[in-house]
Amino acid sequence: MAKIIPTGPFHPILEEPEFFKFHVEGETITKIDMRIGYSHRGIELLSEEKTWDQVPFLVERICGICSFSHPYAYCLAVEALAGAEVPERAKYIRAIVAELERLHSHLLWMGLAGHFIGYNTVFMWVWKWREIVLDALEMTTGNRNHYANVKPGGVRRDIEEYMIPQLQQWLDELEPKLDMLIKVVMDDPVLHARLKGVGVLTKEQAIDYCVLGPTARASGIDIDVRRDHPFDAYPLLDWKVVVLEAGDVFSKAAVRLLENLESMKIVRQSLKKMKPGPIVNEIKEVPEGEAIGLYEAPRGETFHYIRSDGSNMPIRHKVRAPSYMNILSNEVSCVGADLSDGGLITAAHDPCYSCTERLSAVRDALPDFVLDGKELAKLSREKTGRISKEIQQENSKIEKELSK
Amino acid sequence: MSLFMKALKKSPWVFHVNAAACNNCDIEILDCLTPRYDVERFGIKLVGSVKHADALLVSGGVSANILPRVLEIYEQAPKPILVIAIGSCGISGGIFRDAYNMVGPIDNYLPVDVYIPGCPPRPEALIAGVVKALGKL
Amino acid sequence: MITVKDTIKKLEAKFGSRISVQKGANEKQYFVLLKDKQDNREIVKYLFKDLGARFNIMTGIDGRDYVEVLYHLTFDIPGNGFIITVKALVEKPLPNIDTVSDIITGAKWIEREIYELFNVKFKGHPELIPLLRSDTRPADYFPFQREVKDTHISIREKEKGVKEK
Repeated sequence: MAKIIPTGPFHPILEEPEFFKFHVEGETITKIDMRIGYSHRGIELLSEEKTWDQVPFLVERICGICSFSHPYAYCLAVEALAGAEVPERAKYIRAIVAELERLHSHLLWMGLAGHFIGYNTVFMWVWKWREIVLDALEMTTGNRNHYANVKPGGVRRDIEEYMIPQLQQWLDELEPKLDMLIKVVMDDPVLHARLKGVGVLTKEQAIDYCVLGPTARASGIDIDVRRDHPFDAYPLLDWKVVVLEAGDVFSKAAVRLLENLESMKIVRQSLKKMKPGPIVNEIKEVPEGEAIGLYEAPRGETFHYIRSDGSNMPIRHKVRAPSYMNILSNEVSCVGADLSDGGLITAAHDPCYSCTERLSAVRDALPDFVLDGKELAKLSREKTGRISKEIQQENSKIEKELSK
Repeated sequence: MSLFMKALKKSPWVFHVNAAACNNCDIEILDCLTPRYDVERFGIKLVGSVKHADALLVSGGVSANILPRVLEIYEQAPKPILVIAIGSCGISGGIFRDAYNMVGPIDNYLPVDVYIPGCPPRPEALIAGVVKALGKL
Repeated sequence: MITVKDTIKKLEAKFGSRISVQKGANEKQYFVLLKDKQDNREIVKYLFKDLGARFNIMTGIDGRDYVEVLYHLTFDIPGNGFIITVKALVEKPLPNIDTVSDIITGAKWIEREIYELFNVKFKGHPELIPLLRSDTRPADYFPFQREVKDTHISIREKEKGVKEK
């Protein structure tokens, strides 16, 4: 008889409310049901009552972590429809803020993943380094999150001359810390034992579920909107796309860590290549028609579709965040895993439920025993302790043999 | 002041509830634990269950789906408990006030002690708000 | 390497007069209008399985006489990607159309959402229940329909004393 373990909607690991029902036999997960929809607010209807210039302020509050990606995709759609050309200095400023945001989002995920496995030190240290990135964003745009810096036709605030040496100094401070983090994760035997082979998503499943972002790149699918649908400053700079083959939680972590280094390269090149000039090219009128804007957020591809009838407000605005496609792949990647890994796998593709804008709840299942999120975290820490003890015993055995 | 109240004021334990928020206020709450702001040296801790909490931090304008769950959490909390509403969404519903699935800010349903404005409020503002709430006990 | 012109030529050769192709905002976005909504499975299967596109999402737009259902499919080619959108017109009242969730598993949730917001039934969907609706809303409340949108009273208007529209 299968037992059911409900988790949520409020639990201490992920900050957003969502509900999972794990069906288990013994300690292995056989099925997972998800209900979402707790954060549904009705943003697409609100867009139809705001003018073209007011929508970025609404849309950036869809999510606080990927807060630059939604207005950027929306502005690309409006500029495509109006046929407007963005000035060159604005392209580089947009690239700088976008890549700094990608750094802060990946570091945030690393900290939460470390906290969930039981390595609280990783959580504290990584979030301390993340503060340097937030200082850089505050100096450039005026706020730590919700930057309000992009508008159809350009940007709203300029980067002054005195800011550039300070930004370069902060980047120099951050780079050795990121190198150290990569070495720590790639070489630690406990992390290898804990994350390799866990929650595998094969390439065929990934194509069928249409997953996006680092989740897809960790399963061998080579997609990246900045290279495939080039826009703004990305075709003018030199960077590469990171793709790995295994599809497990370790690959997803490794893809994000290596992407951090590419983001730093883009920011440094943009700071050197910027030339003085105007920062905005005002759009006077949006003609009738429909257009699509795509952008690569830290979690995958963001999609905005707008339709206009020539007036000063959109008549339909469709938003699709990347987590919408990624969360459904939990159905196949959780099956066959241990219970203590269940929470880790659902967090491995970096879900952002506010972006997904959906919710639901379960109340009727009464299993024989009830485990909540805290006990799942405890199981997870016990498993890590067991694995590190086994590794220590093996190491001491090897040392004894060598000293004979 | 009784001994119980004196002990309570020294190190309040905090539980966080996300009522349809965009996550930014929640990340700033977690930021308070990190080495730059570090509220754990004052004894303030983020707990995993509401039954251990002295203060309830509520973020977000409330949506129709999450409202029954938030009310259940409030009933399970041991009294006396402080309720603190965070951000513009906690004060008036924020920019989502007119959306069709929102049913009004949290002070239509729970007795709020302190409001902390900002979108999102900085960690320094959050700490100042929690300390001000303690003065009401 | 596939280009957008080749793809449009292949589509016109295969489907002929059942479709009509319009250019969108620029060279990278094309819109394909279906004359008959029954052809949606065939054209989506051709683009997804035979030509290797990636499924983006579906959009619903409410009109007076029909609901438009759009299927967005992307071709990821380094440096030259493009998007093809297939439009199907589903007539009201009681709109219904065939599902594509057995061809593309990633379309399961978005079809549930379009059903919940616009009342479009997808024939053959394994589990057509609402995705986002709260327990307190009635089952026949479809918020994105024109009739419902125009009569929704926001909190601001309630404060001014508007009772009904």
